[in-house]
Amino acid sequence: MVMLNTGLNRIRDLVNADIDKGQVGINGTVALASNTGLTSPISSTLLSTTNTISDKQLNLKYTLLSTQGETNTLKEFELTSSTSSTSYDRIVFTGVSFTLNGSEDLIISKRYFFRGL
Amino acid sequence: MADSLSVRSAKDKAKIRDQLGNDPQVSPILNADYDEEAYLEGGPGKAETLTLGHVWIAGSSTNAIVGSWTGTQDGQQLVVGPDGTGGRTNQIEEIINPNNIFHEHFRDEGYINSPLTSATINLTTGTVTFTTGDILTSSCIAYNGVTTYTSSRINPVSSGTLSYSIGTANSPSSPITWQSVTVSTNTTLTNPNKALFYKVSSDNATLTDIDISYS
Repeated sequence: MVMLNTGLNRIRDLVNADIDKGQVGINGTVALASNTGLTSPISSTLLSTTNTISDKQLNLKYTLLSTQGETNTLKEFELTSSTSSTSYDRIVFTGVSFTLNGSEDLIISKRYFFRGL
Repeated sequence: MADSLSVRSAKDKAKIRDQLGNDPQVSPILNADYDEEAYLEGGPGKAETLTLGHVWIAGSSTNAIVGSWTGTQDGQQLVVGPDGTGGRTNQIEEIINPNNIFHEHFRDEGYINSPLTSATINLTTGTVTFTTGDILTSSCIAYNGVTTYTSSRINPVSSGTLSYSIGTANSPSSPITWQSVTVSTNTTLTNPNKALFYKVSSDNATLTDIDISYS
């Protein structure tokens, strides 16, 4: 018995169809599996992700343009579903300085791999 | 079967005897459980800034200064940045891996240093093929700007003989110091630092997966 690649790719497609947004926040407390989202989100940074699939893998890319969001030190990021409002992932960074209307865009990328045993 | 009959009522026993007789022939049934698991493996999360490079910005007090016409095609052009950059450059801010384990399955080149890689990567099958003298070099795989990493362990899935190295640097763009490591062995890094890299070389082998843990 073995998990088939077709089945794993079906799971990938379901997750891919569900995750469509990313958002950053300013709270740097340790990420825990029991978290349900960002601790201190910046609402103006809830933006669509760009998703790319490959065999058993899903890549997600979030871009915060220099003209979006607010000036702050960004410490947390989440991937979420706009339809179910489910937060899938919370990443905590040491801190990335971001300036509204500055010269830098922020790009956050994440990937998932679906494996069977 | 006898044990089963013993706990049943006399009425049930009679019914079963009617169907199977007093001494039924029974065969043991192997009830084997096979575990089947599907994992959603969280890969690296990378934050990077896309910033202005050597560009000319009208109205800027610092980027609108026009310098001398040097090093141009005929001495009459103003060069505002290296060719091919488009005036924009990526800078890695942080790379965070769940549980301090970097996973690579070679479905994308997001963590491959292409100019320093000669091995053939098939992104469809997730296979890296090495022929004579080929090398695979990663880009930065872990960095948070603060933590200094002191040990690492490589667990690959491969066929053939491969040689592995871990690289350390002060930042993702700093010069890298390489150290040979033995697979599946915790290795103390001789040059602990904040940014980690890996390198694989071989004369004839394939590599399909690699996990690198660190602390």
